[in-house]
Amino acid sequence: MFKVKLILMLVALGVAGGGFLYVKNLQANLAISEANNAKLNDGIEEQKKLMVQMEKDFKDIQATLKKQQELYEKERKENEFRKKRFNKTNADGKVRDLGDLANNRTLSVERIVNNDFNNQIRCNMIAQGSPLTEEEKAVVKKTDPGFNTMCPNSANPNYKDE
Amino acid sequence: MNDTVIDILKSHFGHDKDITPETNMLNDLGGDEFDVVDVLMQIETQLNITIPEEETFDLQTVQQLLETVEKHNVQS
Repeated sequence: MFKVKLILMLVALGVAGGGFLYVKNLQANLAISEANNAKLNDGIEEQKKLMVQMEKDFKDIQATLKKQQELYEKERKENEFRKKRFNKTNADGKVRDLGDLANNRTLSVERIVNNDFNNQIRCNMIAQGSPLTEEEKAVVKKTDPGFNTMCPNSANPNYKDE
Repeated sequence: MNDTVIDILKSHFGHDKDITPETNMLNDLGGDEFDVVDVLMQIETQLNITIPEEETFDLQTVQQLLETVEKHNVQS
């Protein structure tokens, strides 16, 4: 009888010990899982921050691209304007001959070209970030003071090229 | 003489353009300073006159052009 009790006690102790170890193991696994979970949460937070940053970067890139496109379009218009100025075709289909004009009316052409040269310097300054003057902003027609014969699209925002 | 000048202006800027003495060659006809020089050369050739350049630097309106041409047409 004593042997049976001893065996039962040993079995009970074994079960209790096994249960204890099982629970301990479960607790250890839970702790590891919690630690992993915390790491994952940190990872998710990092990812979220990264996504916000990426979204901001994307918007910045889009804004830069838009600005570049606007600059390109402005430059294209200026080139068209200059091309038209120096190679204009009149209503009768005659292409402007600057050499002929300069030969026959030297002073006039020299005066125009000098003015164009000064205007081009101003165009370069504007392209490098120089702010527009009030006079330049107020230009609506070619005869207004401040009209830039070389880059009206940049220098005279209120002037509409015909 | 006026008709000759108007004809030259129309052939240069466009026959559909409405040209009056108040017309500004730069603002109303889409011209620029080179156009004014070109028109003056054509006028000189057709009317066989010479217009000193110094008198033409600030020409803008058709009225100013006609007056300048008339002055030198009478002299010649």
